[in-house]
Order: sequence, then C-alpha cells, then structure tokens
Amino acid sequence: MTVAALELAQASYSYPRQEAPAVDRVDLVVEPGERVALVGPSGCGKSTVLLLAAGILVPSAGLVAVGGVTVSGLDAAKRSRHRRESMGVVFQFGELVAELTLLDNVALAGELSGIRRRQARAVARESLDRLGIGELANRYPGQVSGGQAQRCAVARATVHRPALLLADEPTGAVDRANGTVILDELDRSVLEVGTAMLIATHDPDVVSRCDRQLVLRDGRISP
Amino acid sequence: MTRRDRVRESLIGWRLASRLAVPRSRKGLAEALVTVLAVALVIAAFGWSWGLGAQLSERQAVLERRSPVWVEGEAGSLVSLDTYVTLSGELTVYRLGPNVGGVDLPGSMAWPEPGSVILSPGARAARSSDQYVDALTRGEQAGTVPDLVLREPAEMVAFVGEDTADAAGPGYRTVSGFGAPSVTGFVEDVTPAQARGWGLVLTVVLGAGALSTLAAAGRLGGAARERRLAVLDLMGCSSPTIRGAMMITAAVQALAGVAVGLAVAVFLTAVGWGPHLLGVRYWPVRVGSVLPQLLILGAVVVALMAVWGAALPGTGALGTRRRAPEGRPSYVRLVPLGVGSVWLASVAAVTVRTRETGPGWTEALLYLFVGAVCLVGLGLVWASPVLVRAAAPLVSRAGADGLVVASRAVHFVRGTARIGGGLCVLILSGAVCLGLFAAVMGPERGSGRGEVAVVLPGLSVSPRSEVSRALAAAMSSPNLAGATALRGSGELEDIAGLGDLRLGDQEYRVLMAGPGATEIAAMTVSANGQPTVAAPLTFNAAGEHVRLLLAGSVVVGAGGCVAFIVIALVLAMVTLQQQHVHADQALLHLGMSRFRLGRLRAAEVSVAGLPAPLLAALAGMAAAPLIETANGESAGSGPWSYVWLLAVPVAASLLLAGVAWLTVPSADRIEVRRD
Repeated sequence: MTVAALELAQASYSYPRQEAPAVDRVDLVVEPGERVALVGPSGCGKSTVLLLAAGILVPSAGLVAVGGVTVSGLDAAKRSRHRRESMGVVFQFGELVAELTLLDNVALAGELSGIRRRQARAVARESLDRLGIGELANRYPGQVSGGQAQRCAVARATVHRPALLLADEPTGAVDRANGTVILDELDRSVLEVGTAMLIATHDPDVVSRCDRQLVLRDGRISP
Repeated sequence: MTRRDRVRESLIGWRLASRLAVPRSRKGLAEALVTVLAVALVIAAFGWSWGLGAQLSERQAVLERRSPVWVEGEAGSLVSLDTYVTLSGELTVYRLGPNVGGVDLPGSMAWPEPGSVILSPGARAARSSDQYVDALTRGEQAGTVPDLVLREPAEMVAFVGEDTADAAGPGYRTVSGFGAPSVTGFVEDVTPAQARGWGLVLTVVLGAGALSTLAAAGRLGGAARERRLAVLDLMGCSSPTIRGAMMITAAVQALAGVAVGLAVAVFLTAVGWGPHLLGVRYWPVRVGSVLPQLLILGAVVVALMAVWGAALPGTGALGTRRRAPEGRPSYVRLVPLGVGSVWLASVAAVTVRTRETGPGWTEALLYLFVGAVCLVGLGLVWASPVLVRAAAPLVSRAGADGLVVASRAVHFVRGTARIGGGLCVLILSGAVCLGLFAAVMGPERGSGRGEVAVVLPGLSVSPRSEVSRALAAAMSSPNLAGATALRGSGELEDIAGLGDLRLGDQEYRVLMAGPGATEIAAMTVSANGQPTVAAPLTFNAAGEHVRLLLAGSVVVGAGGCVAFIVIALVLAMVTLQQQHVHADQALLHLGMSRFRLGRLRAAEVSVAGLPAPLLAALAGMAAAPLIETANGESAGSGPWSYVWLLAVPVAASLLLAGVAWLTVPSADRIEVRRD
C-alpha cells in the first residue's frame, strides 16, 4: 500500500474574527504522481486548503499529512523543514524574493532543501534554461515581466524535485504562452519525478491536464 | 486632457485623500498614528523648550522692571539694593530714602514712609519664622509687592522705607526711576546673551533630532500610503492625482499631530511646568507668549510633511515587488568624510604641536575641532550607503544565508544605511550629551549648593586657588576667635566660591564651602570677630545658575536630540521591515524557519548598522590619544587603551539586531493572499 502524498482528514480552519470557517471538514487525498485540480468560486477556500497543505496554516480541527507525516502535529520549525525538503509552492504572483536575482531565487530553494551550493546553482540554471529564461538569470524580479517571474517561481518550486507540488492559480496572471510553458514544466515534474500536484485554478486548460478535479464550495468539498 | 477631466480627477484625488487620512484597518491606523505622534512630539518638545525660554524672558522683564536707574552726581531719591542669602532663601531688599522728584515704584506701589515696609507674600511669610528676614525687613507693613514685580510666586522682596539719615550711609545711590534695560540676570547670574546663546543651541540640536524623526515618520507613512494608492496607478490615475492624494493625507495627519502637540505643549507650559527647574517654583507660562511661534512651527511641519508625503519614492510593498535594486551609491559620498577626517587629523596635529610650545588648546582650535567632529559625523551618515555596499560582499560568501543578507542589505541600500547613519549620530550625540553633562556637573565643579557659610571681614580673594590660603590666614588672625571651629578642619579644599553679603550696615566677604564641609560648625562672624549667627546659611554658589542652566540645556537639547534619533531609528527599522515583508513571506513559504529568518534579519541589521559606527569608533581610537596629549593629561597611552569605544557601536548594533530577530512574524501571521 502506497503512502498518500497528501492527505487532509476532516481538516477545518477559521480565520481570526470570522465566524464561518474558511475550510470546513475537508477530506482529500492526493496519491504520488497524481495531478488534482481544486476548483470553485472565489472565496470558497481553495488557497486556504493549499496553505493548510503547505503547513503554513495549522488546521483548527482534523489533520494534514504529507508523505505519511502528520504535518499538522509538528511545531513551526519542523513544518518549515518539511516544507522546504518535500514540497514546492507556486503562488499566483510568484512571490519571488525581490532582493535576489532569478538564479539566486531558484538556487536558494535548492540550498534550503539540502543541495550543495554549487550543485544548486547548476540545477537552477538548468531549470531556468528549460523554462526559457536562462538569459535573464542575473536579473532581479523587478526587472522581468510577470510571466517571466512566474516561470522563475515554477523553477524555484520544482528545482529540488519535491514529492508534493502545491500551486495556487499558477497561470492566473500570465498569458497563454507563458501558461503553457508553466504547465509543461509542472507536468514534467509529475511525470519525471513522480511528484504529486494539487493545483487551485479557474482555468479549464489546467483542469483538463489534471487526473481529476475536486470542487470546493463554502469551504467544503462538493460530492 | 480637458480642463473638466483635470477637475474631475482632482476631485477623485481629494476624495481618496479624505478616505485615506482616516484609515479603517488597525495596521493603517497604526501607521497613521506614527505620523501623528511624531509631529505631536516635535510640537510638544518645542513648546516645552520655548516655554522655558519665555519663562526666562519673563524673569528678565521682571528684573528690568524693578531695576533702579542709577544717576551719578545728581540730587534725588537715594536707594540701596542688597541681596541676602537667608535660611528661607534669597531675599532682595530695596532701601528707599525719602522720595525726591516723584519717582514711581514698579508695579504702581506707593513709596513707603520711613519705618514702613512693602513685602512680597514670600517675605511676609518668612518674616515670622526667620529671624534673619525679620531683622532685615523691620518696619510696619504698608503694602504688598504685586506679582508683576516678582520673578516667582515665592520670591522674597522687600521695599523698606528709610529716613534721610539712614539713606546717607554707604551703599545708597541716587535713582531717577525704575526700569533699567539689559540688566544681567535672567536667572541671577545668567546673562541675557548666555540665555539666548543656549536657546539657539538648544533649538538647533533639538531641531536636528526632530527633523530626523519627522523624516523617518514621513518615510514610513509615505510607504504605507503608497501601498494603498499603488493600485490607482494601475487603474490609470495620473501621477499628480496620486501624489496630491498622498500630500493631502500626509498634511491631514500632520495637522492632527500639530493639534495633539499643541494640547500637550499647553498642558506642559501652563499646568505641568517644572516647579523644580533650577530649584525654583515659577509663574505659569502665559501660553499666549509661545503659541504664535508654535503655530508657525506647526504650519512649517505640516508643509514639510505634505511635501515629503508627495515626494517620497516608491517604497511600498507593491513597489517593492516590482522594484529593481537601487543603483550603486556614488563615491562622491565619501568626500565629506575624507575632508572631515583630514581636517580632524590636522587639528589634532596642530594641537599637539601647540601643546609642545604653549597652551595646547586655543579657542580657535577648539572651534575647528568641533567643526571637524561635526563634519566627520555628517560625513559618516552620508557615506553609510557606500560603506554598507562595500561590506555586503564580505558576508555574501557565507552560504545561502549570507547571500540573502547581502542582497537584502544592498537592495534598498539607502534605507538600510539609515540604520548605520542613525547609530552614528546617536552615539555621537549621546557621547556629546554625556561629556557635556559630566563637564558641567562633574565633581571638579562642586555639587552646586553650599551648605555652610563663613563670613570674614574685609577679606578679598579672587582666584579660587588662593581661597584656601587666604582663609587659613584669616583663621589664624587673633580677632577671629569665633571662627576657630574651622581651624585645622582639613576641609579647606572644599571651598565652592566667593560672594558678598550685607548685614545691616556691615559688609562681609563670604566664603562658600562645598558639601564636604557640612560637618564644620557654621559661623557667621561680624566685623569685630564676634559670632552673630551660629547656623548654616544655604545659598547657591556663584555661577550655580549658569551651571544648572547649561546642564538643563544639555539635558533638554542633547537628551531630546538623542530621544528623537532613537525614535527615528525605530521608525527606520520598521520601514526596513515593511520593505522586506514580501521577501520575508516568500522565504517563509519556501520553508525557511522563523529562527533562521530571524538570524538573517539580525545579520542584515548588523551589516547595515556596524560599518559606519565601527569606522567612527576606530577614528575615535586614533584621535583620543592625540586629544589626550593636546590636553596635557597624559604622555599618550595609545589607541588600544580606547578599544572600549568599539563596544558601544557593537552593543547598539546587537540591540537593534536582537529587535529585528525577535520581531520576525510567523508564516501564518504574515498577511496571506486568499481566494
């Protein structure tokens, strides 16, 4: 029996000073190598599910397990360690470190996951080349377009070959061409590395590339 | 764009500004409060210090109002003016012979008849409990000295009516009236020029600190507003509209600050005015006397904040995300530091040279030295970005964290360097504050309050170094048998100063003993050597008020400056953290632990805060032995004996780094973008 890449069991979360839970008793399993699309209207709790899966938020009830490890039971330092070693996260607007070049941004993720510096830089450069932004490696996020920054964010999320990829509207702020490059890279990671992927999206193209989709409404998974 | 469009856009700007001026969120409110409080603090500080100035001016006006206008060689009313130091405090006695020529007394008082006396409330109260005061103000009370003629509510003043025979004695001079201008004595021995000079220094020093606080608050507020307004840029609002909205918001917040500051200043000056200032309870300040200056200052501050609000570059979070690193700072920034250093070294060299041939320090050299120190200090502040930029590569080699630290430090290099510049100024002003205070209040200047008085007839000694010898000689005089308690006491070194005292028709020279002499039996001895009063006399030593006023100026000016710079530093730290908030968020999302991010932020603050102050400490280590040699205090103990100077910037930097470390938010506390 294989261990699920991600499992949420009866996971709930409420933001402070909000009565209704953003996520309400969600059950969700993503197997290794599986691509799952999380769809639903704005405000339904998609990003909150991803933040719970990443261990950035801790569920107020239920549990979250990644690769068989119950991350919701770990302290903040251990959750951080688990996140940098076994997960990659892509946000809608990239969330690159503005003070680092694109190459440094990607290499940093590799180094944080335990890859040696020289190797991390080599792998980072390779990733950037593959995503078509190798010549921009020494530019800063503020000096490239939104699409190029997003490609860099994908490179950063996949550089350490994570077991779980979490993506929040990765193509939501880029054009179709950039979107295709981004999705191809995410697919490559799934196919070559066996990465599991949970992707929150509104984009039908993204949904069509996934193995299955889950619909979230008012914080709950719809049947 | 048509005129109508422009008007419509302006209206949008106004509407936006009115909404932004009162932020709805807790965070926005906190950012707005920073501006309001910074402005309020500045207005209150100036209100307080200007109130002090107004208070001293009022004392001077009172003193001038009641000062006799002496005329030489003419017939007229004879008046003597004496100041006595009594157990109840200082007593001023005007002895008035018969009024010749209809001279008016100050405050519309009636001229007292011989044998009658006009007393202030303070003197009247003291007369019943103090035999000294009673003896000096004998006569039937004919009236009360009005408040207009008193420097403080409890001041003891007496106008004693004398007959013609008494007024013919020594000490009486002819007066043509009262109201002599430019009398020395804002506070007794403080001249108006001294008070004005200190007032100017205080305003400049306080102003420099206040300006740094306002600039830091403006920068933080501007960044916060820009973050909220950046989206308007995306929506197509023109730059003038956005800047106009920012300007109005800043002005409104500054106006609120001025209102709060004025209220605090009015409270401080009118109600909470320091009753212990210089050991004297003052009249409340008439608020109206400082209000016009404060209103002008308020208008200037509002205008300044508005201009800064509109002119600040994009430092907000949205801007941060899209901003490339700042360019390399120009090496021209090193020029003032270089010039100042050469200047300082030259002054030190010349001083050492003059020490070999003469006095060492001269007044001109001292001014040149102060000028050089100021230039080096300002030079360090201006050169800070270059120094941070130079220091960053040294840490970038230290693994992934080192790279991130170096990159963050140079990304907003000017903002980062403000930490180092601020620390430099803080250490410099703190050192000046402590040094001046030590110089003013140090033990070599005495503690300031004589506890014992000895009165010796006809003894005139001016250089302080001669006092002990003169006193010893006087003590051995056979007609001073009553003063034997002093003889051989071994406390003669503890003489604080000299002063004159007049008791009745006797004049005395008073030697004022310092606090170490308190065990000595106090004696007041008349001219024939017989003790008249055997009780300690309490009085302020000569120069005491000058010293206290100087100390007060140091505390208010330099201390206020230090306080303002500390606030500015805190605000600069907050601004820096705001600028890096998204980088922090990204690093936490990447899986960096809070501990590691805290360590990284602490290292960043150290890279920002250490280079310039360390350079200043090294310069201090090099200069101190030279200054020591110039002072003739030592043969030159070498720079390594001043290695402790390095501890100050290191400690200050560690403190700031600790704050940066401890204020790392957790990943879930950072604002997360939701669906």
